[in-house]
This record gives sequence, structure tokens and C-alpha cells, in this order.
Amino acid sequence: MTTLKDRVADCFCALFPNHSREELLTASRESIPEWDSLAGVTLLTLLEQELHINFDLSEIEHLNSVAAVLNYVSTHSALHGQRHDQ
Amino acid sequence: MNLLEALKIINRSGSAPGKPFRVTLICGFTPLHLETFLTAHIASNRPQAGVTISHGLYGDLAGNLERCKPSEMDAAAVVIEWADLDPRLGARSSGGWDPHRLPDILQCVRRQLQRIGRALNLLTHQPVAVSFPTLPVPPVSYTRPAHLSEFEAELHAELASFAASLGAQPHLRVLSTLEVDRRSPFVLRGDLKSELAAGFPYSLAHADEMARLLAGLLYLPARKKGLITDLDDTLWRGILGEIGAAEVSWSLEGHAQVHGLYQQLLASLAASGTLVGVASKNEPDLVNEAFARRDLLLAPERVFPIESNWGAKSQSIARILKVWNIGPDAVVFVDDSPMELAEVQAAYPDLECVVFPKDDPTGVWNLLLHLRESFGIARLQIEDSLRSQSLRSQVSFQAEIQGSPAGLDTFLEHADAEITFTYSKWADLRAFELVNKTNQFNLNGERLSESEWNSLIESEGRFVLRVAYKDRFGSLGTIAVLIGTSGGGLVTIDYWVMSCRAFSRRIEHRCLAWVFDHFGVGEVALRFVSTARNGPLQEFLATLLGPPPWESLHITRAVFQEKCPVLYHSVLETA
Repeated sequence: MTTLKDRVADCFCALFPNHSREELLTASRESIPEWDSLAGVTLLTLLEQELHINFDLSEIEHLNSVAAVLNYVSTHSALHGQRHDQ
Repeated sequence: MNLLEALKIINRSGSAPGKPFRVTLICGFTPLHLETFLTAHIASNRPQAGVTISHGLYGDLAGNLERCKPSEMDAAAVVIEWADLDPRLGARSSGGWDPHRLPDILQCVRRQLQRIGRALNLLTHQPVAVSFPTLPVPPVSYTRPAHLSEFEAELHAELASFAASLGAQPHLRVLSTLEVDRRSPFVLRGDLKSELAAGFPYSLAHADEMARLLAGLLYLPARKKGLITDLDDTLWRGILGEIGAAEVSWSLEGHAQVHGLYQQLLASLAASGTLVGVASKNEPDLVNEAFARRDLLLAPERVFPIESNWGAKSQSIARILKVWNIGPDAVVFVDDSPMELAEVQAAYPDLECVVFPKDDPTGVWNLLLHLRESFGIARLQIEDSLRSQSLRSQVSFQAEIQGSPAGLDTFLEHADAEITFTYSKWADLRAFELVNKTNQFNLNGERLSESEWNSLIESEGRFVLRVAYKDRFGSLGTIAVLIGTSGGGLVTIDYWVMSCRAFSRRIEHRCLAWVFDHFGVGEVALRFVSTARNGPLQEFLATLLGPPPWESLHITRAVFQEKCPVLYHSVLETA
């Protein structure tokens, strides 16, 4: 079964194809040069489309690592009643 | 296509081996997802090579257009939205909507359109797709939304006039707003949250649709060449063998208007270069009687050949393909019977078989749109209207050759053939099309993009020779193109194509004779490459050079004069 972590990782892999999946799982904005503001907008749009959640734009600036994104997504998916296997 | 799919397509295309297709996306907003989808759709259309997209500065569409460098791109997409014509028409501006400002907004729109028009006129080497505003006009005017204001009417009039002026230029392809309307629901196009936060005004669905349509304008798919239609309950309503030629119907009064619409589309397709033939299980005499009806909307002379018999339709189609001399992958077969379609499909897996939904007017309407999509052309050329007629001529021509007791030479001597050579530094759309669609008599099978074509034509010392032909059987229009260089006592021919409709007339010999005489050289070099489909070209070369493989693709004047048969054409030259 596809986990939420897998789906988030799929989005990162599609957006940053020059980095390995393992590398991306521990990555942050600092470790990925391509993660600029436009890539950040694309990432959130991608996650919104794939995970059917809405990001609060004011929180975007805090989502600076894959772990932070995963944490945000997990929390908000649960708040919206979506079930994901971790 | 969703965003994840688009990104995956882009990542895959990055490793494609071919030379990347360079596109400049010119818009005033942050290109963001439109860029992603455009890259993905172009990559899907041409998987043999990667795609690179560049763009300019935010908020300056006209400036981006003026700054873009034609030498650094193969195509451009210009996406105009209201804010590009006057920032006050965008959601991110606070310039004011006071009624007394409306004339000034209109004036700014006019000036900006003129500026955009001037810049577009300079991009003549590449295909340029242009889209006009697709988003709602903000509530700038003082009228209620349902009440068309003078301001809004003038705004649309300015755009319509501008679009019409662009349509006359061959390198510009204006995206039809009607097609955008058909594909993308108006109320779902914009994303104000995204526009305010990130400067990207489109919803994902609209960005995807716009990108798909623009990509389709920039990289045209291979056009189908021929349509074979059934008759009973397809071209007309009713079974000819049961009710007779006088009773089959295609009129509104006869409750058969969908067949009339279909006939009108076929007539239009035939007049714009599509080959239209018939495969019907019927008595030939009855079919002739029906085609003699004066109220038929598809002129009988536009249809060729008509195969009416009681054999399998796949056999009729085999004969039609032979006469047309094209492959099944370039043909669409339309029939109301799923069983007949299945029989043909089994025989020709590459041929597109489409059901005529005779009892479903909406289905017929969609079929008409699908056929227009498959056969549509950018511009009408004289050769398009000649195609069906010249095929008939070809059949008569071949029949006379085969039946001529005195042999080919006697026949050609009395064919009243006239060849017109047009020698110049430039080439028209017909020449470009011939190079890109001819397979059998093609020197090397190379295809060229529009930007490659324009660079080639403009290169130093290059000549283009266009060849038109007519004889007592009719005109074939421009049927051959040679492109090459001359210098140092040698002519090198890099591209040489000739339509298969022009075979058996010794036109290829006349072309070489003309090259030897015009340039006064002793030798012609051919940049030949063997392909799976250029057998007829190889057969011609074998008559001069002996059987392949050939050590040298140089033909000397002495060899040519020794091997060239007698030529009977009269020759005209134009520049």
C-alpha cells in the first residue's frame, strides 16, 4: 500500500529529478539548490493536487524541509478526515 | 494531464537523444505551471527529442517579445492576458477603474496591441502561437455584468481586429478562442488566489488545456490524407438498394440533416486537399444514379475512386489505397456498421476506423469536429484543390500508357507536357510541405522543422528549385522541389523530393537536365541516404548509376546524357 510518505516523496522526486529518493527524504531547502520560491509554489500545488489538501499560504515559508512538509501534510490530512498509512 | 504526470513526462524527455526543441514562452505573468504543462505537451508530441523552454521578465509581455532572439529558438508561444494590454485590467493592479479612465484604458490597449503586432512581425523564422485573453475582464465598466458596456464592446472589437491582422501572416498561428471556449469552461479558468499570491492567473486545468492547445499549434501532428466513406446510412440516410436513388436523403425535411452536414464537411475537406473515396456494398449503377442527383452536397467530381461492389470492404479499401498511393495510417474510414469497421480494422490495424453515429446528432457533430482536427490545414494552396483531379488524371495517364500500343515514348510525345521551373532564393509553404511529407521519391528522407527550414533557405549560396507540371490530363501543380548549392564546377543537391503523382513522366530526368544546363556544371552530387521508403528514388538512381550500393553519388554530365531517355516536355522558367 502506498503511504503518505511515499506520495510526498513521489512529488519531490518529480520536481527535483536530479536528486535520489533517499537524498530527498532528508533534504531541506538549503540542500536542494533548485528549491527556489517558484519551485516551492509548484511543490505546494503538486501536493495539493496529489493529496487533495489545501495549504495555508502563510505557512509556506515554514515548510523548508521534506520532514516539515510531511509533518504538515500528515496533520492536515488527519484534520480533514483523510486516512493515510504512515 | 495533472502536474505530477507533466513533471514525469518532462523528466523522461530530458534524456531523449535528439536535438532539443527550443521554445520561448512569452507572457506577462509568472509562467509557472503553464511552462510545465507546455513543456510536457510538446515533449509528448515529439518524444524523439527533449524540449527546453525559456521565458522573460514578469509583467512585460511586449518587452519580452521585443527582446527575444529568433536565433535562439525554434518556436514561440505568446500568451496575452488582459493585464498585458493594460495593467488596470489585471487583478494585481490598483490603477483605478473610475469611469473617466475607461477611454484611456482603451487607448493603452490599442497602443500595446500595436507594439505587440510590430514585435510579432519580426519573428518570421519560427512558428509563433498567439493566444488572446482567456480570463474574464474585471468589472472595470460601470454597467451591470449582464449589460454589455461600450467599453467592453470596443475592447473586444480591438482584439478581433488585431487577431484578423495576425491571421494573414503565415508564421503566426492564432489560437481560436472558440476552441478554448469548447475545451476550457470559462468560469473555471482563473485562480485568483494563485494570481495574487504567485502571479500565476490560471487554474491548473486551464493551464493544462492552454498548454495542450498551444503545443498543438507549435508542433503540428501528421495530417491524415484520405477519407473513405460508406454510403448507405452514412453519406445519406436510407439503403440505396431498398428505396432507390431518388429516396435516399440528406435534408432537414427528410429528417436526415446529419447526413447533409457530413456531406458538407466532406465537400470542404475535398476542396482543401483531402482525398475522398467511397467503399460501399452496392450496385454500381445505383450508386452512379445517386451521385447524379443535383442536390448532392458533395460534388461527384470531388470523390475518387468510388468502389461499389459486393466484396469485402477491406478489398475495396485495398484498391483505393493503391490508387491513392498512400499508407493506411494516413486514412480514416467512416461507416455506420460496426461489423464493417471491424472487418476493415482487422485487415488494416493502422487505418483509423470511425463509426458514423447516424441516430446521434451530437455524436455526428463531434465526428465532424474530429475529422476537421484530423484533416485541417493552416492555409489553402492551389495544389489542395487539384489533388483529386490530378489523381483521376494519374489513373487515366497510367491507363493510356498501359494501353498505348506504340509504347511510352509515343505516349509521352503526345502528352503536351509542360514543366515550369521556378528558381529562387526563397521557398513557399508548398515546398516546405513537400519536403516534409514525401517518402517515395525523397533523396534522404530528412524532415525539417520550420526554423531549420528557414535557416537552410537563407544559408549562403543556397538555391531552391520548384517544379510544376501539367499535361493534357490536367495540372498537377508544384510536384517537386530541389534544394542545393553550386560552386567550383559542382552542384550539390541536398534535398530532392517529388510527389508520387508525378511518377512515370520523366520529370526527374528533366530536373537533372535543367540543373546541368542552368549551372553549366559537369557533375552533380547527391546527398543521398537510403530509407525504408525511398525505393522509387533508388530505382531512378539505378538507371543512371547501375544497381546499388553506389560508391559515389556523383552523376557526371556524360553519364547523364548517355542514360537519359528522350524528354518531350516543353520547359518554362520563372524566378
